[in-house]
Amino acid sequence: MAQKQLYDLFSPYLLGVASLYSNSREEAQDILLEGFYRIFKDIGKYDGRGELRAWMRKVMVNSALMHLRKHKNWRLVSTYEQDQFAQIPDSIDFGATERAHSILTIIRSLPEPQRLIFTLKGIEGYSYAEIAERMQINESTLRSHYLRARKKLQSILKTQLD
Amino acid sequence: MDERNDNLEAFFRSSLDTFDDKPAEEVWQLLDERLSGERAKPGSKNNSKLILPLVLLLLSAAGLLLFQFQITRMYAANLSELERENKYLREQLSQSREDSRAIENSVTTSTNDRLLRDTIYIMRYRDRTTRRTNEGFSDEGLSVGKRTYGAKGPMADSKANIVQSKEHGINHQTGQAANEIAETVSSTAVSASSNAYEDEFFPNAGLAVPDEVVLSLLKRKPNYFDQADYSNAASYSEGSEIKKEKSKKPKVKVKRQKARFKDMVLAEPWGRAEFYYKIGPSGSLLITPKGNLSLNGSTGASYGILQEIGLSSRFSIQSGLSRVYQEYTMRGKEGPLADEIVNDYPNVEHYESRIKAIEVDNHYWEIPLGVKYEFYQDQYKSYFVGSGVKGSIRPPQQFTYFLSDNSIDSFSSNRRFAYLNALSFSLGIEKQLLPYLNYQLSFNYDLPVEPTGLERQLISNFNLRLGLLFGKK
Repeated sequence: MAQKQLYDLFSPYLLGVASLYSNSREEAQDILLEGFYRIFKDIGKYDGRGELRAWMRKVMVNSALMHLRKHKNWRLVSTYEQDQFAQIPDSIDFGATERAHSILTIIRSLPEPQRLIFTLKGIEGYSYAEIAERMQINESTLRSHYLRARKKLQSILKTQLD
Repeated sequence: MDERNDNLEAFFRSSLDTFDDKPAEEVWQLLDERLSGERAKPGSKNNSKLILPLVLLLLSAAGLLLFQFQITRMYAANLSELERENKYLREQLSQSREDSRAIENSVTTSTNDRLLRDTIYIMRYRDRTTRRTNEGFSDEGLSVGKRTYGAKGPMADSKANIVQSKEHGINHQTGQAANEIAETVSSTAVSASSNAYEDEFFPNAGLAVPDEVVLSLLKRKPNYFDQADYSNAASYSEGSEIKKEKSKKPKVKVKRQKARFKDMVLAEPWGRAEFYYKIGPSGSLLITPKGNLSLNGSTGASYGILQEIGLSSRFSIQSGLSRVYQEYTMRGKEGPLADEIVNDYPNVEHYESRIKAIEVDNHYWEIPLGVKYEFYQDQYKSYFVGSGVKGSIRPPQQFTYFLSDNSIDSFSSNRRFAYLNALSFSLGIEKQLLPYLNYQLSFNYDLPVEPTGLERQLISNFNLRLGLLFGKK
């Protein structure tokens, strides 16, 4: 079945995308399920321009944002203590997969809304204006949160890589 | 390290790009189930939302039937008790049953079924007339009549006859003579009914004769019974008399109706000062036949609580709380609804597109507030008109936009719905089921005001509302 093959091929990668917007593996899998449902529903709209993986990533990010909105997850509190994955690693592994997990853990250690803002701006490449519209947050506040998130990440990286 | 910090975002992106973690098996199973369900049952989601209000409506209807059954049973028990206590009534009912059985056992054809039905009615009418002439000219008779026939229509006629008869000095002794007249008149009515049936006057002619003839007889011969000469009684119920009275009947009836209407509406148009409170469940079905836009699938339902606070015997304030479910699709009557700039989020590209249609899931809480005026009342029922406003508490509604652009077919959006405070007009009937329980059936027309934005929907809802109200005036 073509759908299953597509799912098997891309679900490990897209689970990483979903994990950026969730507080637990279970929540990430919920987002993954919703995202794949939309992918299969809208697959006819993919016109072949651009990479399929990139298109699927966009759909997954949209699903994650809808999930956050639906569950009113625009929280302004830190999830650091609640997240079992949020323990910052002592060092970053340099095997590709291990490094990805380590980086994910570091990003998830950021408090909200810094984590979401950094993910949308730094990882996904949205403009401030787009994020401001989507999150209904003032643009200057966004910039401030983003710079603070960046500083924290720099500090963590410096501690672990030096 | 410095180089990494300068390209912090690029470092994070490239690191995450190699993420590889297989999700749990159950994710695919759930996804597969959902996709299979979608293929098997399109539209089941919409249907499930209507189940609760439909169940409530069915329960209300079942409740009404149950109460009707209860009343019938009470009536039968009451009649049975009276029959045991009253020898004369026992004989009459026995006779009536024998008559009914005889008619049921007789050969019937489809052509004379109606005639037989009306004959049965006339025979029962005769029984009632006989009984009330024997018993009914006394207060005791009136009391028995009330207990036996309760809310039924003939009570009014019976009372009218009694009053009329009393005016002309009829007493217990003369009641016997009236009985003879009634017997003769009824027999004549049966034959008149047969003739009238052929003359296409049936069934009204036969049913109207006894009442009108007796009243007319008494009117034209007020001293007839004073003469204590009963031998001529039968002569006043000849066919010729009946024919004359038949021709007068429509005028009498219209006059009576006019008089009754005058009494009911013009007498005390504001009603007597009276305070009461009623409350109960209600449900309604909504139909939206036409708006300023072309609508598809514009049916819906609601359920909730209805309450009524009486200010006078005619005026009351109605209020309540209802949950409304309505789903429909809006289309422009001529071409697309509007132009729209669509952002293919999260792409930065913008498309110029046009909105072909908007599918709306419109679910909200509604608070009606209005005034009810009962323009016709009798002991057991009333007809009313009402008007008011309907405020609503609306969470953001789900709008799905269908576009004419090729690359994007549709997108969804949660928006707050625009129109509030619909004007409402109603016309209905309220009828007593039990001393402390009424049902209310009304036809309502809701006209929205202050529509705004693209989603403005000048939707005129028609709805049929059924409510059960506990409480008494």
